[in-house]
Amino acid sequence: MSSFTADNAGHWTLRTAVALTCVAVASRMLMFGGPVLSWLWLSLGWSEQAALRLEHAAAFGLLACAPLALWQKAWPSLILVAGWLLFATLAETVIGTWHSELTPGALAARWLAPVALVALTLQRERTGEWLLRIGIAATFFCHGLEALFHNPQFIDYVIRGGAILMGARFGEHAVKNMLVFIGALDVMVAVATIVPHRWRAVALWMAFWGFLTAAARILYMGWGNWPESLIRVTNGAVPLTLFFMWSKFGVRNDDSPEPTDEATE
Amino acid sequence: MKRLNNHRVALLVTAVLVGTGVLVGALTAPPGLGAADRNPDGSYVGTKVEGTTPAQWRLTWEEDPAHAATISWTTAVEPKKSTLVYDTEARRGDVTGYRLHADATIGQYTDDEVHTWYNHAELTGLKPDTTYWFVMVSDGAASREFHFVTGPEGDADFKLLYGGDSRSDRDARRTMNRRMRALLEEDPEILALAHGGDYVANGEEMEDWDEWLTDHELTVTEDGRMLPLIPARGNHEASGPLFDQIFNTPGKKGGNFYRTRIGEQFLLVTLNSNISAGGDQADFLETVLSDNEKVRWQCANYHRPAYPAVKSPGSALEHWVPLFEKYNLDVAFESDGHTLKRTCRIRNGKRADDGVVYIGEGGLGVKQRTPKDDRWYFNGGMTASTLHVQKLTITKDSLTVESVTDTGKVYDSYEARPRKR
Repeated sequence: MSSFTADNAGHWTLRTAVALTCVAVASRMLMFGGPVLSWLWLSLGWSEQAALRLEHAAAFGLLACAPLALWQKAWPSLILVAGWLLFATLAETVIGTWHSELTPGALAARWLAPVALVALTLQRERTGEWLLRIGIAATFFCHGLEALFHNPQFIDYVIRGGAILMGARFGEHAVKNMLVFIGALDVMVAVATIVPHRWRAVALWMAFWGFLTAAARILYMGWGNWPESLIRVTNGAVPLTLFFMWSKFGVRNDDSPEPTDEATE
Repeated sequence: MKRLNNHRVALLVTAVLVGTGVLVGALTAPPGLGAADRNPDGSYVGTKVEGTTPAQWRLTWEEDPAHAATISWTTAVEPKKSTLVYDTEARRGDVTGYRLHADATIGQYTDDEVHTWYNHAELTGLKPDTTYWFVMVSDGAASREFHFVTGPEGDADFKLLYGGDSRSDRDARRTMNRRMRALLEEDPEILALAHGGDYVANGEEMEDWDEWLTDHELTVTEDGRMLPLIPARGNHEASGPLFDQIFNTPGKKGGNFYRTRIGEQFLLVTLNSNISAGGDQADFLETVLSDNEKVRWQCANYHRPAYPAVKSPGSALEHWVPLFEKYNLDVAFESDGHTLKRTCRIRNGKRADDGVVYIGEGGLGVKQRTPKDDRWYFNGGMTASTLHVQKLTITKDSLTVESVTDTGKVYDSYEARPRKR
C-alpha cells in the first residue's frame, strides 16, 4: 500500500470512501435487505432463497472488497464493486416508486467512485477527475431536482433537524420554500462542477453539504440508522477528493497545466 | 519481473478474498420460506368491461360510514349518464322499484393505454346500521343487485378486516379475496376492509389496477354483499392520480389522510406514508387524536412501518409514534414488509405493558418474505411468512385482532383491553 502524503490525500480520501461504501452497502443488505432481492424475487420471479443467496453472496463479497479497496494493487476488486453498485442502482430504479428515474443520477457518485479510483490508480488522472466531476454533478443535480419536487423525506429531515438542532417546529409550507432554495443551490453547484473551471470553494461546499446530509440520516433516526449515513459517504468524499486534487494541481481552471492522462505503467 | 509478480499476488489475493466472501455469503444465506410461491389459479376473469355495462365495483368509506359511502364502478366507454338506484329493501334488480337514486360523477382514468371510465356515486344521508340494496346503471345498462351495511351509531360491537399488499401475485390475491369473502359470509358482523396500501405493483398503470379491480369483485358474497374499503395509499401507488380516481379521493387531494369513526367508540386514522409524515400530517394526527382522546378504541392504518419485520423503519417512527404513545393508541396497522408480524407493546422504544402494538406488514397476495424475527420488538410478539388478513372484533370489553391465513387458519391472536382514558 502506498503511504499517505499531502500529495495523495485525494486518492486516500476516495479509497477510504469506497471501502466504507462497501461496508455500508453490505451491512444494509444484511440488516434490511436490498433492492436486488426485491427485484429478482418480486418482479423477475426468482425464488426467495435464490435471491437471498445472491444478495448474501454479494454482501460478503463487498465486505471482502472493503480492505482491498485500500490496497492500490488490488484495483480489479474495484471493478467488481462498481459492477454491483451499478446493478443495485438499476434494481432500485426499476422497483423504486418516487421519481425513480432520478435514481441512477442521484447515486452516480456512489457507483462512479470505484471506477474513478481505478482510473486514478492506473494514473489516468484526467479520466479519474472527470468521472468524479460527472458523478458528483449528477448526484447534486438529481438531489436538487428532488428538493425542488419536494421529496417528502427531505421535508421530514428538515422538520426533524429543526426540532433537534434549534428546538423549532418548522411548518411544512415553510420547509417546502426552504427546499426550493436548497434544490436550486444544489443544481447550481452541480453545473459549476462540470464547467471547464475548477472552483475549489465549490468542491469544498459540496463536500461539507454531502457529509452533512449523509450525517442527517443518523440525526434523523439515531445511530441504528448508520448504514444509511455511511452509504452516502461518497456524496462528501468525492468533492473532497476533487478539492484535494485541485489544490495539488495548484490551478484554478482547465486552461492551466493539466494532470497527465498517460498511463505510466 | 518483480512488479509482475506483485500484480499476480495482488490479483490472487483479491480473487481468493472476494471468492471466499461470496461463497460464505451464499452458504450462510437464510433459507427463503417462500410462503407464497404457489396458488396456481387463473380461473376468474371477472365481469367483462364492455360498453357501459357496470364492472369493477367497489364501495369506499371515508369519515362517516354511518351516513355516507361512495359506490364506484368502471365502464369501457363514457356513459352519458350514470346513476345508482338504492333502497333499504331488496328490489331484485328492478331499476324502477328503488326509491332513492344518486347521479354519479364520470371521468376517464389517467392512462396512455387503457381508456376506461370511472363512475362515482356519493351517497349521503344514509341511516346507520342499515342494509342498503342498490343497482348501478350507466346509460340503461344495469348491474345485478348488491347490498351493503352502513356503519353503526352509538356504542356498538362490530368487526372489521385489515390487510395490505395485494400486489404482484394475482393468483395469491384471488385466493385472499376469496378468503375475505368466506370470512364475510361466515360472519356478517364484518363491516369493512381497511386496506394498508400497495394494491398493485405499479399504481400509475391502469393495466395493473384493471386486474386488481376485477379481482376485487371476488370479495362480493354469493348473495351480493359488498365489502366497503377504507383505503390507505402505499408507495406503489406513488403520487399518481389513479388512486384518487379509483377510490374517489379519500381524504383531501394530495393528502389522502383522514379519520374514520365507526360507532361512538372506535377511531381509525388512515395516514399516508408517501408524503411528509412530520408536516401537515403530524398536525392532523395530533388534532384528531386530541379531539378523540376519550374514544375507547383507537387505531391507525398506514403503509410503511415504524417497527418493520424486514426493512428499515419509515418516518412514522420519528413523527407518528410519539403521538401514538402520547394519546395511547391501541393498535397501529402497518404493511409494506410482506410478512406477518405482531410486535410486543412498545413505549419509548422499549417493551412496556402500556405500550402500542404494531400488527400487519401486508399479506393480501404479495409473495411473503422471510421476517427478521430476532429484532427486539418481536420478543413478546410474533412473525411468520404466510399470506394473511387480520380480523378485528370490537366490543365494549375487548379489541381482538386475529391473523387469518389464506387457508382460514387463525395463526395469531391478540387481545387488548380498554385503556383508562
